[in-house]
Amino acid sequence: MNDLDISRRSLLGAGLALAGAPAFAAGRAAPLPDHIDRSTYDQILREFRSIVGDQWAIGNDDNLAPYRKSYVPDIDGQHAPIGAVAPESVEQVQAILAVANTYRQPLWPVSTGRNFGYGATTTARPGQFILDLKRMNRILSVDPEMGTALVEPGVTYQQLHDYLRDNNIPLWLDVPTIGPIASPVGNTLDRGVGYTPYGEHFMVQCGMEVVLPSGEVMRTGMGSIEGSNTWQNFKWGYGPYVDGLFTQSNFGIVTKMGMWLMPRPPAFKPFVFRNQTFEGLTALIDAIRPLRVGSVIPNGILTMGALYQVSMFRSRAEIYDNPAGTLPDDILRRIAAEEGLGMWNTYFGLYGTEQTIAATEPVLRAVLGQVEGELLTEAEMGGNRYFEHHKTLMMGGMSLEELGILKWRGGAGGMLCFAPVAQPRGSEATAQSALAKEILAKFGFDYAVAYAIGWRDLHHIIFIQYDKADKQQERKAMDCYVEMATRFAERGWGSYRTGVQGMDLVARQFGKVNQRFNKTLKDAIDPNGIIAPGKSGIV
Amino acid sequence: MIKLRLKKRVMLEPRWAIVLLAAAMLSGCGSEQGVPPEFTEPQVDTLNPIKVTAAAAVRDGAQVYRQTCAYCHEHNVGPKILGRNYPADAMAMIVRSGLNGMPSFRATDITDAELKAVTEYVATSAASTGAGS
Repeated sequence: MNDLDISRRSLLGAGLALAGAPAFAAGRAAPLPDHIDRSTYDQILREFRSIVGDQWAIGNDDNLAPYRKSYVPDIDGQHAPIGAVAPESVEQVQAILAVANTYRQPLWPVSTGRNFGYGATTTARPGQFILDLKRMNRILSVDPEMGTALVEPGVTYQQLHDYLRDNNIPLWLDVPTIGPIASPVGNTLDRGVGYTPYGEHFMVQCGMEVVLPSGEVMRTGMGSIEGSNTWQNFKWGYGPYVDGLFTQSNFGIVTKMGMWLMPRPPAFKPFVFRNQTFEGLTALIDAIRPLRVGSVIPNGILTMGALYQVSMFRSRAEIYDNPAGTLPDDILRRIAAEEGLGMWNTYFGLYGTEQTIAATEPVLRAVLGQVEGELLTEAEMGGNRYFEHHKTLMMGGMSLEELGILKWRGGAGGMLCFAPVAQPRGSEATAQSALAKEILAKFGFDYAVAYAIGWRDLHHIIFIQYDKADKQQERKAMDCYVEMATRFAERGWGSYRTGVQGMDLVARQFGKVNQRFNKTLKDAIDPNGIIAPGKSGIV
Repeated sequence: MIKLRLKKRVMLEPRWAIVLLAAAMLSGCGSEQGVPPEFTEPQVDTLNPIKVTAAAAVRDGAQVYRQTCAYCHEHNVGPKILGRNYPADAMAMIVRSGLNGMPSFRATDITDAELKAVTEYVATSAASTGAGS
């Protein structure tokens, strides 16, 4: 069924179908851990319910459907959770950990679980309860003078955005693409990025509270100094800096996180550089790199491929009537032109005062004037829905428009992200694009990508879009991911992040010494292995 | 160029509420099946007590629609749903399970009461004039 062609009858029918077989749309039930039998499982659930209340501890039944929904492949049914428990306080987290330690029941913590291309609320290894921290949703402090905030894991960007607006606090957020339903804690702990000058989220994180597997509560940085008021001001504290150990890992449960917020600048000017050819990417990246390294462009630069952009608002079926193979370039070029897009669309901004922006813009024009393409502003692009979308993101605004890419192939939707890192050089990007296109074409998928040009790095975010209801496509998507991850690593290009379906594979690529070091820490901190076994390949 | 007005002085509305101090020490978690670690009494909230600035409030149907649904259903990403008299019960089921490309929403995202309110709001509202089909 086409999402845009929904009718009252079809919606009613879908609702009835879901009532009869909720697992159809939301994945299948997963097996219990080997060491836990049914009666022990029931006992664990009873104990969780006694801690959080009956409503907030869910067993392995139809009520778990929202947690099973995932867009990444799960060929052998290894990633669905076996339950969920949702505490509302640190004390409840500690009590849940006590139960988990007693029965050696693994817990997979999520803040809001909205990392859709990486697994959402599904798990790397089977047999785990989701520890859903969304109910811990208090904004604990916002300091307008320091430009800092302290939040719990369940606070969404929308909630923080509304708080700043309602209280006239002139600070900006930096959001990932799905700010309204995602959380600063979850995105930062996965080392996600955004689009303002504060886009490197872990860089602007400052201070954590972590519940360790033992139940002890640790505050990092300056947070454990009695009477300190610098927990959100000074990142490093004293001695070993440990905050990084709690990102992309399973050593503790982060229950509070500090962050820096950008003072709202007096002026902001968004730009897009539009290339009409795929080949233009090489010269563009070499030209724009010095502007980013030298902070002339202060925010994360985003170079969006035409197909990714188009798939935000349009479906493949309405553009091309052949579901097999990849979308031909000539069709993509025509559709992109209809939408006011080039084959590459590079978004960035200038932030400051009217005077500083006016002084800097000629530098951009002089540098980018040497490259094939057009540098455009609101004067030319205002009202274009893609330009407006990226303008919103570069101001830390709220949008869910990129969720449209999930339904490019129709059916149940499906998406799997592969995100290799490179140096920001034109030659590297060109080589990565060629390799990605070759592998995607082999499996019959389209080249839907974005390049994020960071301060010294280039992230190539490759979206494998497929229909998860089609088991053949699901298998192909998984095979395509494995081949890409393997062949990119052979060229020295490792992932900056990966989904639950690929964590062991990527961990192996980072080497045995790294794996042993992580395991040594894991065994020491979490001897019962109760926190997220399999996260980043750490067991 | 976008000019942004800066307010000279910002006053926070103090809605302070004292956070609960440390809970009773957990005990009695021994078992033959696992090896529970020794719990220590949570000490940090007594060390540097944190005051709460704002907790998420219960939302009415229009708020939930505006803060979640409208971002897709008024932006040409999902189909228009206002003004079409869709049955509230079927919509509630779809919100929880996530039909097709649509994400699922858990009771921790949209509570049962909020779900009832938003599906009734959508079922009874007039069509909107935003983008979409």
